[in-house]
Amino acid sequence: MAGQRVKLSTWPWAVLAILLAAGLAATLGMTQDPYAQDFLARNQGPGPAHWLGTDQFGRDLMSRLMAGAWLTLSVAAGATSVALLGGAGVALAACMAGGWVRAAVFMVFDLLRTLPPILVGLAIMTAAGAGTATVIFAIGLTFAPLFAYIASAAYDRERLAGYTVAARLMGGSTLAVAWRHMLPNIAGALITQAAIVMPRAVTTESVLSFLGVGVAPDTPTWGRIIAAASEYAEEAPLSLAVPVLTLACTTLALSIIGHRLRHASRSSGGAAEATI
Amino acid sequence: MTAPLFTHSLRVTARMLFSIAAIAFVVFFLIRAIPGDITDLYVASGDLSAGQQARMRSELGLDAGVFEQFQIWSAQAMRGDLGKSLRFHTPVAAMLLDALPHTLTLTGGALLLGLVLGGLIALLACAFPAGPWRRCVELLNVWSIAMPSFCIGIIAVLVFSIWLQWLPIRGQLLMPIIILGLDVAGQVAKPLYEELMDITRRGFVRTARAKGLSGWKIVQRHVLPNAAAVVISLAGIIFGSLIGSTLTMEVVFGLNGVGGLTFTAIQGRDYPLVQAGITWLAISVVIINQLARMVSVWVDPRLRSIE
Repeated sequence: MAGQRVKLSTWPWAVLAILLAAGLAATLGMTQDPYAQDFLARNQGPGPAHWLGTDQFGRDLMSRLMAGAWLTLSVAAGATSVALLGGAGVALAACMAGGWVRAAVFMVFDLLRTLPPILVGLAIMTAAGAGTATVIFAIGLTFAPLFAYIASAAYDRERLAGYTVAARLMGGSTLAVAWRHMLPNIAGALITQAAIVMPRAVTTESVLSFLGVGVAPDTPTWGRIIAAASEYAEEAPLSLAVPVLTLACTTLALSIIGHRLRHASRSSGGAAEATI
Repeated sequence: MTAPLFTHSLRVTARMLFSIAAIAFVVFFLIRAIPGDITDLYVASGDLSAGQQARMRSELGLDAGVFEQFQIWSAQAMRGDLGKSLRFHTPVAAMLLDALPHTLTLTGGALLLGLVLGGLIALLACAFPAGPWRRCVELLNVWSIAMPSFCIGIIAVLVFSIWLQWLPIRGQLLMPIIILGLDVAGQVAKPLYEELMDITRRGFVRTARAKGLSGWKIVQRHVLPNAAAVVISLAGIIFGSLIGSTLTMEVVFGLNGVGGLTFTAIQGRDYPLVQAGITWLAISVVIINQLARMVSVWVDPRLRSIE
């Protein structure tokens, strides 16, 4: 049983490590140029010159996928950070302000949570135009409520805890108490939530890019590669299947990691959160 | 009892109206913040000269200030007039009504399939703990979390439409309903199974078992009524994300639903159509959420104290 568990739990990390290594290699220019077009070699199958074949402009699919790994993961990580810092930060500030400010802020969070992330993303992206920074912000915004609820729940719980009261009695300002005493206590829960949001951010980015409103048109993220390849599915099915499967493997690995973290932090109470 | 119930329903209605108005308001200004309106697109494609552009703008009412446009639009919308599509010159309401059956079949079919399938597997896993059903619950859950439905959609098109040629590439509802249904089933099965297991550990189930009732009977008589509330509130939450994936599915499978219509309208800067489409989708999410909350309170009176 124990042996099986170890075997099961290593592969998602291996997938993540491979993706990061591939992405890093691509950003450092160790692959073929992902933008270089070769009109004599369009929609080719795998071969010695292009290991995974080429797309409709004759661009090397493998180097585009590797560059896409870096872009997709960094957009997802950026969006998750925006959601975490923005959501938790705004929520904590609103909680400390209290009264109608808190009510108003959480009304907005409630509204955001009701709407499907794709719809919010689509609306923001069309308004602000395609671009990496916009997509990070848009996805971050859609997932911010999840962190806001955790932060406000933790605030209400910790506000009356002995150490908070003690710190306040010792003359700490609200802000200092929140920063020094509360934040370390809810950090674990927030990071666990971030691990769960990561794969969803990857998916959302891919869907937005697939719909043509994500990153800038020529950028090789997986959603763009899939969208381009799906138009030539009959001639070059492999160019479509490979990015789709890469994306699926990535979200699978990331979600398993996220759920393991949540499981670990749940089963051993708050203490395990520190080990993450 | 009546007075609190009355004020409660008033508050709920006010909150829903506020949400809907806020969404309509935000969408209105958001789409007008996109650089370039529809006349710019016509000029860019060479269909319109600069002189004609100015005239077309004033004909479509796009030369007014944004706030003035909002006043005109909201006054019309209050009277039930959603305006005409800038591109097709047909009333937006009629276009939405045309697209609605596709979206309703897709969303309803997927929700129904998912609830039945997910519910059934969770029940089986609960009634027969020794069987393979628990694995099924886990597998479905991982599947729905990890597999983006648009990826599965594309693979399904590749396999069933292009290689096997069993189904047409565009315009069929069978594949999107099955794909989204599986997705919903995975989201339902796990929490429902956990809730069911939680219920079976309670006293009344132990009493029933001590009376000598069979596993299936206990599930039917004692567990199911208790789990209904969970399923309903889950369905409300899932509906929101389902609306989002319906949109992608409509694009992948070339369906003329509300999502696909809104998507093409955004690309064509067709303001009234985008406005109506997104607002409609958002309103349906808000209403379904509220309905689910109300029905689950009705089914499970214990929730009343929380509300």
